Amino acid sequence: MVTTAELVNVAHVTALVAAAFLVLVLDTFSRRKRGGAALAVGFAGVATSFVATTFHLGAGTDATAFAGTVAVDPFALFFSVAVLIATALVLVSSTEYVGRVFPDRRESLTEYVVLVLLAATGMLVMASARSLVTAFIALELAALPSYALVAFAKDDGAGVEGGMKYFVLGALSSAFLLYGISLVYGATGTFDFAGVASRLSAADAAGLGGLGALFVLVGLGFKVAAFPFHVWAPDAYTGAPTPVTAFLSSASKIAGFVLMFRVFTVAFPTSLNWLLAVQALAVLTMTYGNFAAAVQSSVKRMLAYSSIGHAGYVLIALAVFSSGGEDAALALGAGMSHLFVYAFMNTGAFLVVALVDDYWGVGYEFEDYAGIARQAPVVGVAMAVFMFSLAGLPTGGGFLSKLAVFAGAVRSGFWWLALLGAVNSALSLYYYSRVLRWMWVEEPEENAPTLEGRPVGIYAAILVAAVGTLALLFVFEPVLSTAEAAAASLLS
Amino acid sequence: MVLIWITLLIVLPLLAALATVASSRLGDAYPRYVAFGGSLVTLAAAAYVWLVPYDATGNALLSPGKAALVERVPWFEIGGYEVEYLVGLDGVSMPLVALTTLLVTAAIVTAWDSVHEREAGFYTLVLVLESALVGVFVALDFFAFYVFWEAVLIPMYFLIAVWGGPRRKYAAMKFFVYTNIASLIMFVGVIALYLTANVADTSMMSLTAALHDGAVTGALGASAETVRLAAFVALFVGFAVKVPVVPFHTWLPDAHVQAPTPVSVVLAGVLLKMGTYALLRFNFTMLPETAASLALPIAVVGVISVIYGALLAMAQTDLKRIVAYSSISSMGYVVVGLAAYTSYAVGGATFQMVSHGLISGLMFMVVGVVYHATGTREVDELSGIAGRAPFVAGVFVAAAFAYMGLPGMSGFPAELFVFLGSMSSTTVPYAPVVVAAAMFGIVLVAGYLLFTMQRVLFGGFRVGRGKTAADGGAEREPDITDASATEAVPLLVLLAVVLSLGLQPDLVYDVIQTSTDAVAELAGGGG
Repeated sequence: MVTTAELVNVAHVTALVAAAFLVLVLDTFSRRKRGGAALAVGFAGVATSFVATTFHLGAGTDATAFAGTVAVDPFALFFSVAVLIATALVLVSSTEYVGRVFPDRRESLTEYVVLVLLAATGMLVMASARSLVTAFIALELAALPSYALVAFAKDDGAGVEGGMKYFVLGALSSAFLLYGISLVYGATGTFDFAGVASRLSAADAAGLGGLGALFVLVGLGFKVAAFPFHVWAPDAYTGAPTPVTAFLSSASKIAGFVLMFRVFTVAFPTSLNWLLAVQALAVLTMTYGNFAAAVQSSVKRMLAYSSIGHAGYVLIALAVFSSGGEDAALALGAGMSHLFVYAFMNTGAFLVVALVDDYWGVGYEFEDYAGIARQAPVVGVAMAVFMFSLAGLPTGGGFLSKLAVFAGAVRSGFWWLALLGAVNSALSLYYYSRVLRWMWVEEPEENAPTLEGRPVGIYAAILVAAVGTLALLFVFEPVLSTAEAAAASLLS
Repeated sequence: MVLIWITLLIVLPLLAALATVASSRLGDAYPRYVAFGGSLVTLAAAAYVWLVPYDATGNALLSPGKAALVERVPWFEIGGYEVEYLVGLDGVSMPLVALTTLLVTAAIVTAWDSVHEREAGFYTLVLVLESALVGVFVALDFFAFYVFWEAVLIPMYFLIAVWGGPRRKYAAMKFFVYTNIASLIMFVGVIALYLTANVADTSMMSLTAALHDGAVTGALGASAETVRLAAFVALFVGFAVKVPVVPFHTWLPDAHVQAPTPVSVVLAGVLLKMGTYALLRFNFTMLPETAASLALPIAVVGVISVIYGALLAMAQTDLKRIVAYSSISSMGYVVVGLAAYTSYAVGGATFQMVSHGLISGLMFMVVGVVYHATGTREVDELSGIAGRAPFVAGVFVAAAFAYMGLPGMSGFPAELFVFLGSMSSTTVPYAPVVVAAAMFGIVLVAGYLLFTMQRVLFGGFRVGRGKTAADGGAEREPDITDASATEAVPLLVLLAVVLSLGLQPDLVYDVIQTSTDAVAELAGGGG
């Protein structure tokens, strides 16, 4: 029986679903399909959801709903805030983007908004999932709209290719995940995370349970684009409309991580030996992402690979996990806070690309960015904030969150992971600063296009992201302590 | 009363930077005046802070209660460590903060004549740089220190890369990569100390106290001694790149030659001091025993910098390169003085930081004026400047004499203190030999500076490679003018400060000594 309290607790999810359906209904009855109303309703839905989430977070809600399949705890709520921020930034910048880049597809803006809202709904449920079945359904709810969003540019070869690749590999990863879930169910007879944990023991490491955990790891590895399950990411990220790329590489990745964190810390005991696999994933992912990013000639692709690198840093947080204790809470909380900062800086960076590459039509290559900052200094400064913060220079929240991740690793005794991460992070400055060199230092070419229009929505989203990134350097304490507390309550 | 003086010194330049950006909306003529006004206000605030509320009587790290104007705000807490925004002033940092504000003001005035492109951006970045530099010198929490330390790189990178000479992109990237790798090495070293020392917060005072109490554990199978030694080396390398100490110096000539004059002034005058300042604060204050045991190799590295820098300077034909390499030489004295660990050696080394900041700033400004007037910095292409531009030549001579450490100039007491103090060093074996070797550097400096002056300033007037008019050359004489008012005033101001510190070193030295004596007592003592 569903109680009122349960409904109140999941209000942040319902708000998004309601907004999505409202947009669809409005679209059916409206004549002029401009998309403005859809966007307004969608944004209102996200805002409502945000208010509900922060309310629950402030009130310290820690409850389960729907027969224990959904958890509304600080852990889920913390990630929901990050997902919602990324979603809001993407939505705000979408009207002008679609209007300029896909002028003949303005009518599709409604579908675009609905797809974003439904995907975000899936991500919020992923954050809350307490049962393998809920987790799988939520993941599919997040994934299916994403496939369509990536292929939004249906007349563009790259868009279709990216969408197709994403769909096929996404389906493959879902198969892995589902197979893993069935194996775990076979070994334990339950879908419930806590139930799974109580019925698995070290003896299962080489049995069905261990194999199931491995398959689940692979399935989620696809979702967060960890090496070697990342192959879909660069093409999907490049082919998708850039705000969608921002959405996928921020919100979708965050949602993948929240599920991974919860499944592996709650359901699968470390005696299944998954730690070693995650350590390998972390090292490979951050190193590969960094080196691949360094050789890109397109800014968008560079950011795509850099987001793979960042997945590697976050994997460190899980790789050093040890059952219980303060160190585990610190490590996990650090990974969470890095994702939180990442929601601002990565989304912001992609939105700058959306503005420069697509809206202004300057081009995708580094060279095309020559002298951009002279014409649009605000965008140049914002990009500098994002790039230095992503590189981990102490001029944005990225420095502190990376520091927290590495500190967590050192505390748990994995100083070598921290060192590898720090070296990777230092190297990353090379390709991040390259963007800035082109934007600020290089002279623009003679026939460089003038930048037409200053889209209010995209500018606003970029500025909010930049101010957020910068502010997180000064007010990092609330984020880290909330994340640590959430991690501690999850692990207790 | 809430103390906000130091934070004000950090925030004022930032506000000025914002005002500069805003003023560029009104017209291209405004940013320079707004920036100048902002830097002047900051300078005035620094002077006021020094003269009125400043009351430090000891070393900020060794006797935390005796630092002046300490301001602290909790920042975040990580893994059991309290991290704070924590700033304070003592006898080491106060003069360096004043030096920073003075040189930045002078640099901004200098830029009026030499920077004509994207002016608003230039002045904004210089002011942001000033804010970060002040932050470096006042920070007393390691994380606050590191934030400012790295924040210096970003405006500096753009200042060189956008407004520099022909090879500016290469020079800027080299500067960025060198110093950033050094920062990382230093960061790892400090973190290793924090992890092995028993501290509850990340303030530099707590770390100092913990290290002095021996509250350090080993790690990863290594003993506490090994950890200290490894951390010391990491810190030394990290800071040595900034100083720079031979062989970590190769970024400096490139950066200096490519940087525009005002940026060179700040680079040589203040940025290099970050390295020696940090050496004093971290290596020599926190790890005195390790430093004392390594005093001889460190002093030898210092002497090598002195001699090698001077020899390299001799071989140069570009005026700016000459000054750049002689900076390496002068900073070598600071390293020698620190290693000697006596009252006068450490105090003199700190005094040399201030003095060299002023003199090298003056020198770069003079070279900038010559370049502006003639269009070349090649020694071979210049001759007889004194006849046409007597004022510039006069300041050039005065600056060069200051560089040589002539009595009456600030370089004299600085080097005298270092040499006298080092003679009686108990940490450096064979101290007199080391000092004698270092003193040989003075001979070299005097030699090449006199030779350079003779060629550039005196003789028949000539610009370019042709013969002089006196030799019957046919080349048309370029029209060169003496320094303009905006070039002359900062030169005179700096020269006045150099002279007054030369005649009355106690003005600053007394303040320095209140903080450096405690450092000297950690190892060698006395002297």
